[in-house]
Amino acid sequence: MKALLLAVLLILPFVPHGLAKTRPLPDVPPSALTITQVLDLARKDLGNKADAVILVGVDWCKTSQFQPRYTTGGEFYELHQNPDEYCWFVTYLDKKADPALPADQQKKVREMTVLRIKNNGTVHRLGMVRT
Amino acid sequence: MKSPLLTLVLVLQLLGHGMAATALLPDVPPPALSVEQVLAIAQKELGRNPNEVILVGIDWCPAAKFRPRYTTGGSYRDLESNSPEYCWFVTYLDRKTDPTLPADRQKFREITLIRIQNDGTARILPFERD
Repeated sequence: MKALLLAVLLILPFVPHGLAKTRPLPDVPPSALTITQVLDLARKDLGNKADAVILVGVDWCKTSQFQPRYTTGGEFYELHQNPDEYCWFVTYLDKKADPALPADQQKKVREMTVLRIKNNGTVHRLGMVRT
Repeated sequence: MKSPLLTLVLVLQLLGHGMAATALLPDVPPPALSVEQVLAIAQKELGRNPNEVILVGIDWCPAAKFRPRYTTGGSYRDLESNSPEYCWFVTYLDRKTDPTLPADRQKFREITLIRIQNDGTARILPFERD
């Protein structure tokens, strides 16, 4: 009986670890595009602006679960369309000057651009709704 | 009277848009490494065949603010340091099989997270189970 209790006590600490280890991730489908192809498509879409922006994120995730890591307020309304579709999201910050602000604040003004790139290579700039 | 009112409404709407457009983002410093350099460093650090993994994220943000988009539970203790340092974070999902699971549950994937500092130093972040 004692041996059985000892065995249970020894095994128990490993059980939660075992369960945690096997917690499954969502079944993320591999992308048809390589990261190099994604970056090429994004640069092509940005055109001349490509050198004037800071790339801050490239993410492969379900459309409904994408949230940019930075925000200027508002939300991207297209994220409600085809919510289960996995896409690439490429996020850029832009040092676009704002004539309404004084010169000493100009360097802090940035606009954010999010491109959604579908698995078939279609590139779409997400529209933002100000809230 | 109608005309000034209409003008006022139009102007107010435009002002609203203008103000929203100037909402300030944090003063994000530009990274010293290009995303291509980051990828090359990450793949070297990963030391795996790229076909065995799925790249799901490359992010440039403060270490203290980064949270992986996917989780298996647990946490990355190096992210708890509240460091304001901007780093690249490269996230891979791994099709590593788990011998304790039956064949029909082998969808289990592991996350590998690599932090790359601005000087090119790369490190796979240690993961702690809850």
